[in-house]
Amino acid sequence: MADEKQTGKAPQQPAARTSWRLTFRWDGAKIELVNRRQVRMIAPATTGEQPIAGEHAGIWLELRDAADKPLYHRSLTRFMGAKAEVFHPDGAITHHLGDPGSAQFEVVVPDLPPAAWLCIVSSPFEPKALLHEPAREIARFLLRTGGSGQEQRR
Amino acid sequence: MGAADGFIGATTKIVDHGPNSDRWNLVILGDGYRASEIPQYHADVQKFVATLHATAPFDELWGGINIHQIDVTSTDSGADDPATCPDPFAPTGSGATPNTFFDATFCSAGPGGARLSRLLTIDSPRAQEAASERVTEVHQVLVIVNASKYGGSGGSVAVCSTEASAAEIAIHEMGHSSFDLADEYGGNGTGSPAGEPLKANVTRDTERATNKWNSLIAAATPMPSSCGNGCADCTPPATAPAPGAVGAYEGAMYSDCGIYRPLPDCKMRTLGVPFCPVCAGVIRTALTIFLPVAIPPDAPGGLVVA
Repeated sequence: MADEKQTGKAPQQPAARTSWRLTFRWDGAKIELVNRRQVRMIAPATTGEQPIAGEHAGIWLELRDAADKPLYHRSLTRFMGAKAEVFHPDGAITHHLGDPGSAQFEVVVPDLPPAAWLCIVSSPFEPKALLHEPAREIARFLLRTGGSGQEQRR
Repeated sequence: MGAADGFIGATTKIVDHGPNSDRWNLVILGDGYRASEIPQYHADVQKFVATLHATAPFDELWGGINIHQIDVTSTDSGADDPATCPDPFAPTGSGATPNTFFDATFCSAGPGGARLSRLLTIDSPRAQEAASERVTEVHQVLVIVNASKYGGSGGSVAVCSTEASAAEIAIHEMGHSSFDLADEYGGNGTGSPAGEPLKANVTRDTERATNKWNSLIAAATPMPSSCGNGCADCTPPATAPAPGAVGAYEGAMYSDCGIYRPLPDCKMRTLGVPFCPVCAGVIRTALTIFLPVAIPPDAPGGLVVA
């Protein structure tokens, strides 16, 4: 068998030593950034492929630079309450899908010096659409300004 | 029910591999433990920690992990467990309605309102807030519920009961929330993405040259490596792959046909089995940066506001 550790190589960029802890609230129609704070900690590395707005389906968060180039992404699908798993005593798993419910959740992202924008990209909020319809930007927040620093659009 | 039904006590770093700022931090809280049961909570935490430590690849990455235990005392013991639950798999519960700090409840409503007997949920925002107020650097929150019935849930906070194998639920859910792994079990296609999945551990691509985990596929392993029953789009291999050979096995991400997984089985498909090499590799990639030697001291982001 091939070397199983090849997929476990370290990321190319060094990890930022400070991060943003972001708290979002989702009311079923709109997503709000309700709190942000800088914390001395390392954010999780990005995993999976970089999703592309207008091409891929789902809901995710992106850090973008001033020229709108994506720097980092994290999937938010699991936090939106659109799926629940049923765990059977024999170890088997099945799942239930439905409309995303209201939710409040925290996400940690790296404090990358070039990052200017925090963008939420999503397909329409119906279970089938979240899986099949291309996502578009639904909200964007200035990452570093004082006050709310928010600009929302859908 | 809720915060009036208990209080938060001590926070203890029970696995300490260095500064929280440099490590991956798991914060464990309890629900449904009365004051007299806090020693039992500590024992239940230790059992979970032992299970996680014994689970590859967490064993080899252990030096990058800190674990924190927060004592939460509830007025009553256990979790809500409605006497009747409209769930064909397990339609009856104990009828218990204890008052607990995080409102742990079996037979919770899943998406679309369907009630699921083993879906054990808590007040996730409250648990997340309790964790991040006490351990600012938290990456993953786990709530252990003092109930012997099998159950758990995922999302931003992993939840499991104290039933012997429920820790597997929490580890599976951490695979989603912390490492963005896809489910590898099949189904009728409801919930499967239309195109190539973005997740690292599932694919529609059975071409050896372009498959996303092709560096792990040996030359002798047939592609695809197995086909689902009755799947028209898959040509079964002439010879079966060697046991344990990474390849492309049909049936994953809620579809029995058309989506492939790296091995016949994996913790993202069945609880109680190991993570497959692709999932283990993803976890390794995510946690390697937390190992003591992985981060250069002059890495960017030195400004601390906290």
